[in-house]
Amino acid sequence: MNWLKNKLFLETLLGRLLLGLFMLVGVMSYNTMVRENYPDLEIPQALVTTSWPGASPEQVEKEVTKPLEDEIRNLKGLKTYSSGSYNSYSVIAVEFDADMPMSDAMQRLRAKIDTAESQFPSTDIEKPEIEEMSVSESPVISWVLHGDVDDLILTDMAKQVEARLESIPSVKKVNLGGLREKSLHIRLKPNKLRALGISPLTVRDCLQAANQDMAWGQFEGEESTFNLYLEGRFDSPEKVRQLPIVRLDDNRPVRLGEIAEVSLRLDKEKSRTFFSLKGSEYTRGVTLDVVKRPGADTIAVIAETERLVAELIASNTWPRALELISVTDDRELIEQSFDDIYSSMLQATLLVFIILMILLSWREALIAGLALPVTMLATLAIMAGMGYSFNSMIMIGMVLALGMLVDVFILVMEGMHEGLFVRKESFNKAAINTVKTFALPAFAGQLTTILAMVPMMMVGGIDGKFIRILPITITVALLVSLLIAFIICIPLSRYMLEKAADGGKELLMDKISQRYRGQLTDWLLNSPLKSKKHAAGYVVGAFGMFMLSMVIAGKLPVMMYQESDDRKIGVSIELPPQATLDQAQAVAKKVGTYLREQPWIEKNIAYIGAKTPVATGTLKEALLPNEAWNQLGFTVILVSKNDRDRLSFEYLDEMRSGIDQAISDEAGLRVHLTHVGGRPSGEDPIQIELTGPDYDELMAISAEVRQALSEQPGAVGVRDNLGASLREIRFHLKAEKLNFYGISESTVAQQIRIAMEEDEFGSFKMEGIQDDPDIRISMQWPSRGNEMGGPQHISEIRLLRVIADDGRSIALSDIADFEIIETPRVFVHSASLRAVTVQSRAEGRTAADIVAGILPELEKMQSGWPEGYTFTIGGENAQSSESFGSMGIAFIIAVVMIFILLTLMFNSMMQPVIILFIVPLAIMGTFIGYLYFNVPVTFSALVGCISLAGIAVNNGIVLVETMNNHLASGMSVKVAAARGAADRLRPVISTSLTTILGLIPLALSDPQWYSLCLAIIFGLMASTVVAMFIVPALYLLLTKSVNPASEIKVS
Amino acid sequence: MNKKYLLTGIGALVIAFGVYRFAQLTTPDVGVMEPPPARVEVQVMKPASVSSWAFAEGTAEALRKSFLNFEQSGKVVYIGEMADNSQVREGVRVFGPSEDVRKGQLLAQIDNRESVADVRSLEARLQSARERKKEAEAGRTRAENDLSQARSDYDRTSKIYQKGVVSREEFERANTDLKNAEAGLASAESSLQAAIAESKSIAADLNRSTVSLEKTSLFAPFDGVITSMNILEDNYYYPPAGATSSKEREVSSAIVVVDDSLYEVRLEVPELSFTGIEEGQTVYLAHDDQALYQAEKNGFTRGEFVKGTVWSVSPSISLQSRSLQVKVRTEGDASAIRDGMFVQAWIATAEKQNVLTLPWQTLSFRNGVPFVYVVTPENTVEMRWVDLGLQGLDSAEVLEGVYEGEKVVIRGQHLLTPGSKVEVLGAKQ
Repeated sequence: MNWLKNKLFLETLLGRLLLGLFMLVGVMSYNTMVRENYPDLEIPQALVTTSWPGASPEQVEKEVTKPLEDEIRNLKGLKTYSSGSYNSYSVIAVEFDADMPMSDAMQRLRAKIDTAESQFPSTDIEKPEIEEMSVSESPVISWVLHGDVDDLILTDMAKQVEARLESIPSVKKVNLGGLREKSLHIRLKPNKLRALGISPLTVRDCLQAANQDMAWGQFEGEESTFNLYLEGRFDSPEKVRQLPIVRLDDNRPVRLGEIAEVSLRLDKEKSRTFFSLKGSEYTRGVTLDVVKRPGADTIAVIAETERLVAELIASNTWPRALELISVTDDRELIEQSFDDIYSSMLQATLLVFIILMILLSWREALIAGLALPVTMLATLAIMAGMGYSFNSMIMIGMVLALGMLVDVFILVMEGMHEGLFVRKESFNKAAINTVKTFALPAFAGQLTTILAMVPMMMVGGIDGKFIRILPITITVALLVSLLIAFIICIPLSRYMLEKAADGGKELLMDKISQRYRGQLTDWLLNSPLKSKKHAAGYVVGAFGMFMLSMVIAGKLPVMMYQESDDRKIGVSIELPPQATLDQAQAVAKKVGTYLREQPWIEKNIAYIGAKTPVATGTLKEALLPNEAWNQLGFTVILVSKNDRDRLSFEYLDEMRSGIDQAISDEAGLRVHLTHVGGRPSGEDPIQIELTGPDYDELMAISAEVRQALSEQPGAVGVRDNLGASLREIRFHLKAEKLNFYGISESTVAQQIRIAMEEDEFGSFKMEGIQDDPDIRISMQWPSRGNEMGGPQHISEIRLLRVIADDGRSIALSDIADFEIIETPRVFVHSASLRAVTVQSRAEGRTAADIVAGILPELEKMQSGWPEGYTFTIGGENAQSSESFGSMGIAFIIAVVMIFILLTLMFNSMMQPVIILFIVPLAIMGTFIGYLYFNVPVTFSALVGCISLAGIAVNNGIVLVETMNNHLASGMSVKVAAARGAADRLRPVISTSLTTILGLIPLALSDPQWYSLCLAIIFGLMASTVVAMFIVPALYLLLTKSVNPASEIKVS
Repeated sequence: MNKKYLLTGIGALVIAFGVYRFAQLTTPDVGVMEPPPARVEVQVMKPASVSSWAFAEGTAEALRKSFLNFEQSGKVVYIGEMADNSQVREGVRVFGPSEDVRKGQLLAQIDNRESVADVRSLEARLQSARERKKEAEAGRTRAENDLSQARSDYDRTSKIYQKGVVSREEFERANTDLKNAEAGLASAESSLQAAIAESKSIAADLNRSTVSLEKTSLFAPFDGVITSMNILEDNYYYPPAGATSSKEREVSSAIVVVDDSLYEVRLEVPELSFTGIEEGQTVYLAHDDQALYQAEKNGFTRGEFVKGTVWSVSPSISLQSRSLQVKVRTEGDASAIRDGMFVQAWIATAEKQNVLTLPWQTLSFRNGVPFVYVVTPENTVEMRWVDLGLQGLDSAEVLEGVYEGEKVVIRGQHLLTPGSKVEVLGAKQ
């Protein structure tokens, strides 16, 4: 035992070794850990995409989405699922419980999908693809390829760069924007077909039959063998043009070139992208947004893409006129956010160090101060070992832990100080005494904090997973600090303290506390401890204050997350549904001019005909259409935080009105800004989900709800997830007519499909391993002239004709009736029900308030809706009630666990009650402080409150223990209570002060952490002050007087 | 004690501030926020014209089309020539007969040597017959002379005989001579008649042969364009047998001449889209819809199209195709279409002037029923269901729902619900 004591606390060898080890692994982890801004949580969620070329949204909904949903519904561990059914494809977003292992979830999902697949009605439906999704799918770096070259070259090079970038293992995908794909276009001339009586299906069949490569087996000769190979695939447009389609009566062949225009050209323009750097003019280019795989190191991914790009540009084949530059780069953002937290960490350390200087002698302060970075490094190493990335949450956790863990060092150093200089013991004796005296209280004190943290680790959901890193980091840091304090600091302080001469000098802190100690004792004895009645009066008063604070808490604004600064802002503008790309471009020009002129905007990318990737990062958004001619998006990157006056979200209002001004002469636009700002899900905080059987009705209801929501103050950017509806011409074939003409429904359908779309039928062979362009068959439309695309006029529908087998051409209007209706662009399901979500941001007012404001109206409206239409409040409210609820449970568990620990420690049931009484008083402080400083209650505020419970009881433990000691030494309960409180004034204040000061820099650095830090700061302040008289008062009330006779007057 | 007051004062202030903040929290936000008005573009309803169309297609054929054929077989020996000495061919313009020219342009001839030889031999025979006629005429003259000689001889002899100067024998001889001469005249007369008859018959033969010589040539029947030449010089030609359809005749006729100034298009119009097509309606024809689209935009003032009118409308539905036949004849310049072209026809079935119209994109639909938003003087919108009448290419007639002078939202209506506030954008057209 002694040997162990020697080894652990007296000899420096183990301490030195550990110190070296911690430093080494810490520095190594610091250099090698994956760095990211927000932790890339592994939330098991996936997108299931199934394509069915040519099917209508309604068809897809019924025949693909529904069977899939029916299977997915029964998945174990499923949290939510929703779907979008489009023209030609279906997307289902599946989210599992956040704590389910990814691989397990995917396996289950895959199995279910395989079952559903067997129920698909048509063989044309392709196999569903499952794509794992990260919480945020925002690109980590965006490259732009631009230059004065031919569009075809641009397309080719963009494809090449894409392929190269996607070859990086950590890159999930590269999204190309503003690119026109290249295909071999066969544009049939409708009047030629009709004049010659050739059906487009004949053309298609001829083409497909001819476009084949096939191995014909092997020919084995006596001396040599040959492979036989049919090389039939088209490799030049001329070959396609020469393909005979039919032979007329006079033996004349009709070749494809006669009835169609064949050319290898760019596809229909779907979107354009432009970028502007530092207020420069917009340049057109192709964007390549690199999305990393979940869990990959952002900075490494960026570095790798940069290396590849440099390599590409240096290669001989790179066209000189082309430039490839990066426009947005998350590394910058990460580094900046790290710098911010780093600086608050540094400030916190400095502040704590200054406090140490006041509390301890410079030598002891130096030891404690040096122990701090070592603790941080060791914590980091352990976190790395647990598989975490180096993200800002860990940094925050360490900053939070800083103020708490320094208490241990103070405790240990004070013990040494007392032993060496007050009791004048030898170093070894002082060390052993310190360990003996303080090991248990220090451990107990840290343990209560850890116990408060543990239930928080159990909170589920995305938020739980997101916030979990904090308690884990704090727990690790606290445990590490214990280890370092006793095994490193004590033995190694030998070098600093053993031969110190000036140790006996009285410290500043001692002088101050000496002065107030007496006063406090007197006051305590005269006022709260005068009699049990007095004591009870104080307790009741404090409890009354607590009740008052609860009333206040009920009125405080509540929100899930406080927004934080985010340099990336997404602007989405939706034009009227019939808008063209050119109209979108015109609007983009106006908005772009405004954005370009703002000095606080560093750069921006304009996406014309598509949404900005910032707005499509979440699972819910991924379901919605993000490429359409009426969409327009900007990714705006603000200048760095230090170069602008305000926080990013404070510019939103200005930006909104600026954009509004810029487009004041444009009708029918909807503008929406996306600011993710630290919220883990990135979704709009207000979401009202409407479900019902019919979309017509749903759209009308949605319009009504949108109107009501936009009348709520604070609800900004009200929209629904369906967007503007599309007009649909719905045909009904007349069976008798079809029969008369001898033409089948499928023939009609396929012919019209070819006429309207540009479907792909096989591919065209390119040299080498280049991507083979698709062969697309389409029809020339009168209103389009030489451009590609479908009909523009509603009347053109009446020109649609099909060609019967005998060559007759029949007007579609002759064999089909049609009606015009409006349908949504996409059919969205939420949990298998047709749904529309009306959503908005909350600015200047919390989401909860806005929802509370609209709820009565919604209920009133609902009574007017037909049977079967209901609304549910989703978004932050649903999320916060769930998360807040689980935090409440965590809080109760924490208190119970602390109670059990204290009961064991004090061997009493009453004393823990005294100590735990501090917890509500601390929380009272938090809420009253919130009231004064206008702080909303957020999820992280609750985290703060729970942590607070763990920290605040520490003061109580110290006080009660001292009182018990005094009582044991023969004092009366009253005197013991008063003396106990007064004696511990100094350590109580000093530990609270370090914790509070350690948090202040973080509180001021970013609004996101404001509420968390303030919860602890206010709570600790209140609990420190109140504990000084409430604990003695309770002690008096709840402690059985051991020897009431021996009341000794205090000198 | 100042300190105490100070502390009390500060405490009171703090509490007062707390009460104020609490009061702030508990007073609910009042009222509703006025959402910003939606920006819209409007169209002020005023009378305009709208026309509805029926669409059909058919093959254009020239109204006058001549399939020229030789009436007999033979070798083609001559192909007509143009002014520049080039042979006539498809696409050249040829002239037909006119006031002063009895026959049109000679286009081709087949071998006529046999007929020529016939004519020649007949001519030779006619010549000899005519010679013979002359001879017979001479013979008759001679016989007449002989007769008069014989008559005068007889008269003299008879006088002398009665006087008895000559012998009875002499008298008898003279008498015989007279009778011989009379018979000689008669015979000369008949041989003349024979010669005349022969000559006539040969002339008739000759005439016949000449006619058949004409049948070996082809002449342009009217001003037009040659659309088909199925003969070559020195090739043998057989007249076609049993060609009935235009298509067959087109390929079998020696030469096809077409009058390209006037076409007829036969349209098969399905019974459903038939309603409204009447004789005399204007029809626009072009080889594809695109040309018609472009022309429609400029009100059919220019472009690659041909104007025509409905010439006839068959009242019965064809059993084969369940369609009605509508014939359209072109008017004026028909150069944009060609004979045999498959053309698209847009028939202006109805046109209304001075009616309220709405562009298609203005209309929204719910359950297939169209509606629009009308801006009220208070700058809010009102939803109106509308009844549509005539449906034009890009606008439709409004029968009911909106009235003249009202402002109808034409852009931005997707943002509106009944009662929404709007801001009407003015300047933009």
